[in-house]
Amino acid sequence: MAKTVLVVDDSSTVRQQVSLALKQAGFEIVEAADGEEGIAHVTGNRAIDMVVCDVNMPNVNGLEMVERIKKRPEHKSLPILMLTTEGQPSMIKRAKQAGAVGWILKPFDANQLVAAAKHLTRA
Amino acid sequence: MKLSRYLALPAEMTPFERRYLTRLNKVALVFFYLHIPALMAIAWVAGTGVLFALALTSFVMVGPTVAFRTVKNPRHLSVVYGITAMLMGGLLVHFGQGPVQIEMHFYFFALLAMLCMFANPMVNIVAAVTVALHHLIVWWLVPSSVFNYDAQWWVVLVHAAFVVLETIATCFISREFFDNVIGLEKIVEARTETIREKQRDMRLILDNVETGLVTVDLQGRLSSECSRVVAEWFGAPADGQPIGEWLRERDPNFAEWLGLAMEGVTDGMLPPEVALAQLPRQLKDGASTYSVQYQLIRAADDSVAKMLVIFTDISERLRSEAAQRHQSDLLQLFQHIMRDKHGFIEFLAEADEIMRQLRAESHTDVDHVKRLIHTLKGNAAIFGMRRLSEICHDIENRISEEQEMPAESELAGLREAWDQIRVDLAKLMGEHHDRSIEIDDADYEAIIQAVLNGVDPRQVVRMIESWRLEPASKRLARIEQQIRALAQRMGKSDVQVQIEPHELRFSSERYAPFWSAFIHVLRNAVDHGIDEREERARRGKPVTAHIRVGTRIEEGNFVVAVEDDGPGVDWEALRAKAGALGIDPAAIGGRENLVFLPGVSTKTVVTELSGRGVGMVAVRDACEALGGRVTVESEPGRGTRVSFFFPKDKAIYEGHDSILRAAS
Repeated sequence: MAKTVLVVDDSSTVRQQVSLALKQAGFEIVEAADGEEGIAHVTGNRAIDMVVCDVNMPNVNGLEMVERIKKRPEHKSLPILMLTTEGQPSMIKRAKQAGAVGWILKPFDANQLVAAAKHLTRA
Repeated sequence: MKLSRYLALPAEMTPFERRYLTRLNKVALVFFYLHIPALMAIAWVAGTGVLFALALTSFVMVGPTVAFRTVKNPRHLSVVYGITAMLMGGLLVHFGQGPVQIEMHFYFFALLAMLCMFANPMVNIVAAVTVALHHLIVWWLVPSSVFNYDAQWWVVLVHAAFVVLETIATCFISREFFDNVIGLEKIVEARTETIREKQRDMRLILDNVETGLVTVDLQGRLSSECSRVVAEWFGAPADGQPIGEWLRERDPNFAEWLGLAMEGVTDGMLPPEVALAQLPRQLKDGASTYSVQYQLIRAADDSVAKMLVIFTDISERLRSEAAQRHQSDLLQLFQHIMRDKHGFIEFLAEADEIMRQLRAESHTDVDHVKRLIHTLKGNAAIFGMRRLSEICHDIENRISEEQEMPAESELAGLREAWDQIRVDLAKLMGEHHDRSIEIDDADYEAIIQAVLNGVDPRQVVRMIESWRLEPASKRLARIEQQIRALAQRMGKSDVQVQIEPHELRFSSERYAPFWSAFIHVLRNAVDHGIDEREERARRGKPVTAHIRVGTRIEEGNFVVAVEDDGPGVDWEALRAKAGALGIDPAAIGGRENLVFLPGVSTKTVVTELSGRGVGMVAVRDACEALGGRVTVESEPGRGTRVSFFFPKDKAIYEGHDSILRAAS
């Protein structure tokens, strides 16, 4: 059964690129443009197997989104992968402390993203 | 190996062997001395003469004792003791005469086995020969000393057979013992030398290679072995020092990312190649830049214990690349200047003003700064100043993402780039102050005619003054070029630009701020005002899109209008976007004004050219600063027209014709 990945980024170009890369590898994609939408999807009806999310977003940013999702016990094992530019290690540190599994630098390599997604959703 | 070489040990004796044999020989001597009381006891039990046992055994001990004092070579001494052991065996058989005499022979076999301890096949052989001879001689002379029954002669051969068998085995054991235990030191020494040699070679390489090499374990702890250049660049690492700590003073950002990424490598949440790819690739230490690569070192069983970190100094390479880019930018710049010198001079003046503002003010208004940079970026792009445009784009991105003022270092970078451009320009153009006026033939003819026709001198003065003003035709020609350049950059080639110039002239100084912001209107027209080909076909529009830019005088107003026949403004999308930002169109005086709000744009992809929602505001501000107003008319599917109305004043000149006509 195909795994579903939620992509959260305020840039539609980035969402498009991520979707393309993952769809080609057989994943189903759900998109969100900011943290609030992201949380809505995660807590919604559709089962989400993994989240890829940007750090800097309007409304609710990536860090806050991770914190809020991870507060819920049912999402303790939901893998959340951050997307970030080489700007702020501190944000990534906090994201990891909040429960993100890791990050990938932007611009990202499609193969790496697919490898990471496959690894994280392998259970 | 030949048998003789096998049995005879190699001549060289290691210190270890010497020490070992010396110790063993002492032990053996003591062991033999203990035979004196032991044989006396047995003689007493068997009744074969205690005193005789004492005497004979002591006599036998003379040899080994003297040898102990005199024989210097421990191996030879061992051989002597081999003989001694056999003599002792004989004594036991003799003094053990009685019911268990045959069983006393077993001692020989025990002794023969013990002789392996000397790690010398010759000891075993000599002992075997000794016991053979001794047995034969004694049996021939005193048979009862050997057997306690009347044994046949061939029984001895049976004894001999067993001795031979055991001797073969003990020779083998002795030799193996010698090679592998005594000889171990030699093996170790040889291997250590090989390693030392390899280390010397390795050290040679490390000291002469120009690449920085260090190794870390998976917790990020360094080993002190590194190539020499690394010690020069960053200081020699201490064994076990965490690599983040070692580099923290040089480039704290790099060190932090490295720490995080190493954690990512070890915590195994991501596949290894992905985690490795997130390790930071560039280290900046003052004026030097290093590229950093990583290589996992696998052990023979494919497990990873260490990682090699490779530093390469790319400062030179980056500098030369930057210089090359700079050269090509200069060339482009030159071409642009040649094409449109006035336009360029105007751009320079405006950019100077923007830079002055960025330098001077203590900035509190983020939007204002963003607009300044946005304008500079667009103009720089038009004039082919790629690097400047890129720098502005990056700063603008940073402001947008973080909603705060750009860092001082970023602004400093911008200033540096601008200063460099000014320097280059001074070289290219010489400091050119436009103190001369160019007049074309039409102006020339007109002024002569005016004077000859007796036109009022004040009007003639007005005509002459108009030479300093910028003709609309020139301005519009420039605008046409700008539109074409924009269209080309955006990959929209089927655009036709119509300009509707007029005899109008206007003060370029006064309207300069407006014209530079005006770019945004053009950009919007190209970006949003051109339908896709299929859409055009569907709506029955001509194949090529049209953009019309015109100037005119209308009811006492000087009007500048830009019109496209594209899809028109998507009011719904704008309204939605504004709604998302919490803005109500009614509250701002009508939907038209939606177009002028900062941050409101229907474009979700922010390209270098437009999409941030900043441009139109800059234009309106510039227009209103000159006392003008702007209107936006748009029909969905038909097109959009943006019109700027300026009050007619001294800064506008309607053209020579009206004056000449009035005169004649």
